[in-house]
Amino acid sequence: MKRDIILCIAVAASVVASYAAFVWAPSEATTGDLYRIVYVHVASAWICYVAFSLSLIASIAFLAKRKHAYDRIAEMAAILGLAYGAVALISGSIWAEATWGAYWNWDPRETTTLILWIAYMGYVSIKHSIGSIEKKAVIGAVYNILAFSTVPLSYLSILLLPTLHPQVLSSSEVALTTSMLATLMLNLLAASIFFVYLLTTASTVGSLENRVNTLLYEKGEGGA
Amino acid sequence: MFEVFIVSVIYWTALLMVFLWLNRRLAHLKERIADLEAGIGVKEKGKGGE
Repeated sequence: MKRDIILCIAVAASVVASYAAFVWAPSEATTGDLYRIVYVHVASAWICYVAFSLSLIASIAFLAKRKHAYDRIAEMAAILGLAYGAVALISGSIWAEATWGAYWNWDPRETTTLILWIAYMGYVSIKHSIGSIEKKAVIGAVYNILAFSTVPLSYLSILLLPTLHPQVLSSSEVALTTSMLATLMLNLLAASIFFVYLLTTASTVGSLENRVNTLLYEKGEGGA
Repeated sequence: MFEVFIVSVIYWTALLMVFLWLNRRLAHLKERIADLEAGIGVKEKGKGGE
């Protein structure tokens, strides 16, 4: 019931945000309508960073308290982060092709975000390749803490290294009006609410998987 | 504008796929729990009757 309410709010917010992004917001002075990609790209990248940060917090909480619920949240948040990260990478490549002439330019932001994505693919692979529940939780949590170092690397890459990537909120390359900024914030909010819904659902899936394992153990069939 | 359309299709397809995957998994697990609980109920009833 609670999840259904969050879903309704997320869908309503997404419809309003999409209308603002594709119809209401004006075209940007130099890039024109192409700039509308930013509303999707920035929202995806933002959720990707938030998801991996939550995954890190859950992994630390697991190592501190040894509750498997935290480990499940860490894994689910990482899977969602990978989905949003893939959208951020693909939308960034489409933007790059239209503005810089090539889908992939080995730009510091592109490269570090790809490293981040591969690092978290490694995390999910580890979680699915170890048989022992305890062992995969501990190894996964330690790996997750190490993999998180790629998040600040990706975020700070445009500040520390020479890059083609524009700084959307503080760049002289893009003229951001108040309505464009409002549209960007609205899209960030809508994407965040949708992410909360997906993470809540993923967390429910995790606890039901745990219930199935408990029932199988009670029946004497071992874990799922 | 074509690039914007492609990006929005990719975004919504990705979200829809995650949404469907999670909800299908949820439905499957609920079904499995109901089956297992019914099985355990029958097993316990059987033990009580012996």
